[in-house]
Amino acid sequence: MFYTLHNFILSITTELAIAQDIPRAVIDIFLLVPFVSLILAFLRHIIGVKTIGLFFPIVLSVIFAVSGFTYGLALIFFVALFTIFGRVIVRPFRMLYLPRSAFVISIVTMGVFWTLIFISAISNKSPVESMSILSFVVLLLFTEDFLRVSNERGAKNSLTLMGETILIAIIGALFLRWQAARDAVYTYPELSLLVPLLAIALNRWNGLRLSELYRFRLVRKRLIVDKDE
Amino acid sequence: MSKVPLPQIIMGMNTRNSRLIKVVNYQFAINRVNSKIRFKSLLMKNDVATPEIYDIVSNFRDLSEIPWEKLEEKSFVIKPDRGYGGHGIIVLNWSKKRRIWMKGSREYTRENIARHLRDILDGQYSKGYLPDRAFFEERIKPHQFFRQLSNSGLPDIRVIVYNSVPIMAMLRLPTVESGGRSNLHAGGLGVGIDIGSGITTLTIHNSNLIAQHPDTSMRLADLKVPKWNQVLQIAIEAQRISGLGYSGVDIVIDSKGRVLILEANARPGLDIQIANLAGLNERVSRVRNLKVRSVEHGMRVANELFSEYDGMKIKTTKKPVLKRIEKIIIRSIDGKKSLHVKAKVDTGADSSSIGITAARRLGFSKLVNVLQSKGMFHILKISDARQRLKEVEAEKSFTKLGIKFKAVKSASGGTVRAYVPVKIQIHRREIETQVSIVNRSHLAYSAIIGAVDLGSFYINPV
Repeated sequence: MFYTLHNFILSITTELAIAQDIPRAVIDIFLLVPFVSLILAFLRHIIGVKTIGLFFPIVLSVIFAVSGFTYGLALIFFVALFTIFGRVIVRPFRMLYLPRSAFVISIVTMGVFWTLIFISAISNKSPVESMSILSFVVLLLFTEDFLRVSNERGAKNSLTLMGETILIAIIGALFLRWQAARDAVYTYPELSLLVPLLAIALNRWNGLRLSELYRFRLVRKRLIVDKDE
Repeated sequence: MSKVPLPQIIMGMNTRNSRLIKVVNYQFAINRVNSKIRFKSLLMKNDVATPEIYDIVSNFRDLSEIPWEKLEEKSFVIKPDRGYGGHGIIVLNWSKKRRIWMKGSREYTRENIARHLRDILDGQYSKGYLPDRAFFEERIKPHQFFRQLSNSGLPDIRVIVYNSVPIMAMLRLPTVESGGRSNLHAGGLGVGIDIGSGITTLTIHNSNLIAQHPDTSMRLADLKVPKWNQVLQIAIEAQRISGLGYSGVDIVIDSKGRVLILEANARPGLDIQIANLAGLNERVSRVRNLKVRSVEHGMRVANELFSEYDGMKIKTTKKPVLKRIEKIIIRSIDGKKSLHVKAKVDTGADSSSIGITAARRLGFSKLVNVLQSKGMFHILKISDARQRLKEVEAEKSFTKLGIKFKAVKSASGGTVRAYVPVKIQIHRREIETQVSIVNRSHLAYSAIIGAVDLGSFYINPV
């Protein structure tokens, strides 16, 4: 039974994909992204790591995996830099929310574009690839979230949040680049079916997150003292 | 000495979301409280006090129809209907002198107001950037109690109500750091309140315990929150009206003493547990299966179950454990003379006693001389004992020093005991007491600590 299921899934995924001339790397990432989301869910649900949004770290890890860490981190850095810059120079105009967003986004786009061109010119590397442009657009979507967090929680908190998000994205990217994992899902694409089952198992954990053991350390101390008396 | 299975006592995010919000907070109720306008009008319909709404701006057409004549001369707060975390809220005070609104020390014109309203309508402050409504709300001047504690913003009281029972409460004080907002994440203070008494307990600032307000240096513990019963009552009423099973109700008390509902939250924060050093899960489980019949019933239940104030006090001063023999210090009442002795802990003796030498050293030589000359350290005939008692009680210099006498019967006759006032220090605790003077020359210890002085200790008899 398992053998037939395996054959069936194989025929509708990898084999079909190969027949359509879809590159191996793309297939790998498609099949591994569910696992990255599971890792992320585990880190947040059990460990209690905080990230900006739920999809941002996943998207970020794909960007890291595809375009490399240097490019990915540089891109985040420049997007954040130009967003802050854009918000500073837009302030005196006292614009309304929507036109102001358009203003800032155009500053970020132009700024990042010219910086990338400039860097590729002096480093003599090939110009921006098509995938990288896409990653830039995706990043742009999340700057809004990042800025909202920085408004809400202050600069220090949002920077640690950003740091944790990037850290998780790097873990995800390392997983996406792990050859053994890539081979496993490429050979057994039905492994992805495990993810929903594991997610259900994860959902059953209702207790404190690891980070909450620290967060509520004072309450725990008091409770233990009470019981001893 | 077993450790409590902690996760069952402290509520984490996972438990809150899966066991409470998902189970007892239905979507219709969440929608009800997520719109402040909707919830406030519901409260008003049910005669529950909430700050007045002056005007609602639902769309851009409303912007041109703002009743400025009605609003001028008034101070108010502009709020987004579906805002969260205190974002997009501005407080405007009408200045009679300049005939304009002031935001802090800055003038704020109609144009400024309209601009802010447009930002709210465009959804800058709502979840998911969805288009939103804005409203003008009566500005609340905080009650004197809050004004002395905090010098900025509007302090409020957060009460967690579950199943019509207030299970935990906290005072939220804005700080300079939080920019007038009372949200804990923004740097506001959370002060735990004992549900039964309405007395403040511990304070947290950015998840750490502190003792004083960082801006005003006011001590924040042991304060009685005014109108506490009314606060609990209105909190329960608000929860019942919201339809939420588990909610965090925000309440303010204004300068006229009105108790008002600001809003209700469907997913209240968890840091309130640190400010109260207590777990929400435990409290939830204690009221989960109760059938609460009315608001008053809910208040009674809360009072019975969650009055911890006395308990907390006792716990901060743990009883020391005494051994059979303890080194103690005996001092005269004026504290001028002191004596270090080894004393025997004797729960069989009613009161404490000291030997003759010890009494002399503590300045009772005259008394000891009299007692000895009258043979009062020996067994006497009952009639003799009575006679001696009268004699010493007549001596005024003794009564002036607070010395008391008592006739004691024994199997073979009787005697008179003299009780002198002293201070005894055991384990860094000082007790003011009366000790009798006895002839202990043939005994190993020159003092006995008796039952009346052992109330605040545990005793290890081995």
